[in-house]
Amino acid sequence: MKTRRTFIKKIGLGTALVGLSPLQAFSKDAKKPIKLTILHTNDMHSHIEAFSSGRNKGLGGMFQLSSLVKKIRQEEENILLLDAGDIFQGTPYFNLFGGELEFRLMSDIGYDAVTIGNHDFDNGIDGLASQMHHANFPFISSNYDFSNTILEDKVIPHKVFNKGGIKVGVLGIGIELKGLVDPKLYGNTQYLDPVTVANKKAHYLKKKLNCDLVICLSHLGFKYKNSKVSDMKLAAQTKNIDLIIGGHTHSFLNEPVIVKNSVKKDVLISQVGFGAIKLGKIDFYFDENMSNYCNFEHAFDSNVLDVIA
Amino acid sequence: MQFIYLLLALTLFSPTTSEYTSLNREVYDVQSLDVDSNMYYTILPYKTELDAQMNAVLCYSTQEMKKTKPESLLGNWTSDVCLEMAQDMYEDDIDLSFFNTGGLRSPIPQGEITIRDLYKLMPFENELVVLELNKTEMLDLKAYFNFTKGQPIAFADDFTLNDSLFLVLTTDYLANGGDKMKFFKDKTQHKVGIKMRDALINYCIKKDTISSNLDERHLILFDEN
Repeated sequence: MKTRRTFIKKIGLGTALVGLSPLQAFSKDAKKPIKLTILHTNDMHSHIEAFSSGRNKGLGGMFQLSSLVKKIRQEEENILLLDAGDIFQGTPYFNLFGGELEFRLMSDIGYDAVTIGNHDFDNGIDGLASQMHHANFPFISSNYDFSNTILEDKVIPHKVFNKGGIKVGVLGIGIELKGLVDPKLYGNTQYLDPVTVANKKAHYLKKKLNCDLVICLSHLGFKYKNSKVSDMKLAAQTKNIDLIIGGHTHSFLNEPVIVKNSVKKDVLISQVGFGAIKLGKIDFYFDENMSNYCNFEHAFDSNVLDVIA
Repeated sequence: MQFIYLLLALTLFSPTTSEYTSLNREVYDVQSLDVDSNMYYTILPYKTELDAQMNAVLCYSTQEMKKTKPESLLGNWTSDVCLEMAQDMYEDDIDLSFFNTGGLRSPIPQGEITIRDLYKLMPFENELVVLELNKTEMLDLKAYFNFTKGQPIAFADDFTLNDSLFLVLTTDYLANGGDKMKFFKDKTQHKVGIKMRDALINYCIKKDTISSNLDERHLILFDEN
């Protein structure tokens, strides 16, 4: 493993040679934008099979979702697949098997990360913890403090992904549990203020870890008529978040809602109903030559070693 | 090799983070004719076990029960059964059961009734709870009942609106503010100790046949026009 310090030294050597390169020819190459594809679901509520009746008959469920994601994977290179919580509860698959099948299928489909919804507490924190070994993806929650609970080491506060040279920071924000979930189910879980935590975490991801894109997985709900904190409020009262992937209110947003954040920059809010009836896809295009050095450190690691050696 | 040097140089002098320059968003319907066979074989053992349990026949229904307003076969049956089953388990006398039409998710078909039918009717894990309402709050419930043109309800035999205290059976979901039942807000919830769905399942296990009827019970709370 190469350390950061030695890497910067190597760059120093590289800069001396800049003048020797045909700049124009190179920048033509570099203009090709990098495409990052975010795929997202929310509130899948244990829907394994397609809906068998009602207006969504034939739609949804993880079984069909799997085929769709596979197809998209053939077409796109840099995919992050995310879920905004409430994986549990809604069909007898959860009642009988406690979420085991949901986690196994989501692992097979290739989820990169999820956050925790209120219904994911329906078998208690013990019920959630006991199923987590079926999941090969991380559970991200930034504003539930699980210290001194069984989930303490099983949930992470954020994660940084490197996709095709783009550095993506993901945080997770959960809804207030009091009044929504039976206290005996969430135990010693502490709920921390979403706006304060999201602001702090987003700042850390963007400014300290230099993420190109910051995504907040949120189970707060899209918006409310009363003063309850929602994705709309979170977006307006924070900065450094580029995209909120929402859940809880089962909102079918046909287009992402754009909100100005506290420094008048655009925040996208997206949410796609429930039951895996819909899959959201957002493509972000980045100019390659703008991407930060950490990405290239990764991508060109072996080449650099060759040159220096 | 020079390319690599240049790339490193460019990245050093560029801002440490970049911003996306454009974006595109689509929403896909999740529907596929392709079968993911690996996933099919993962699901199969679970589905087999689930179907075996869910398809168990519990009893026979003499009629199809649907929800209508102001009263319905489905609403009356559900409220009656919950009141009867809860009263068997609860030490105090319950005056009435009160639920929401929206919470009854599927009709009861005529014929054989399976566990799956009851999961469809009540997919939620809502627990039965008893709340104490004073006279004012009971009148608020009555106003809600009128405003919404009836909800699933059942009364104990000796029910009268003249009481000063009412014990109301409902679900923790509604007691926690579901469907804007403000008269339930901030009440102490006394748990019966059974989920609503399990009360319905246990009742069906007990009976060979089930049926419901319309008896104009809504008139007890309906204001005269």
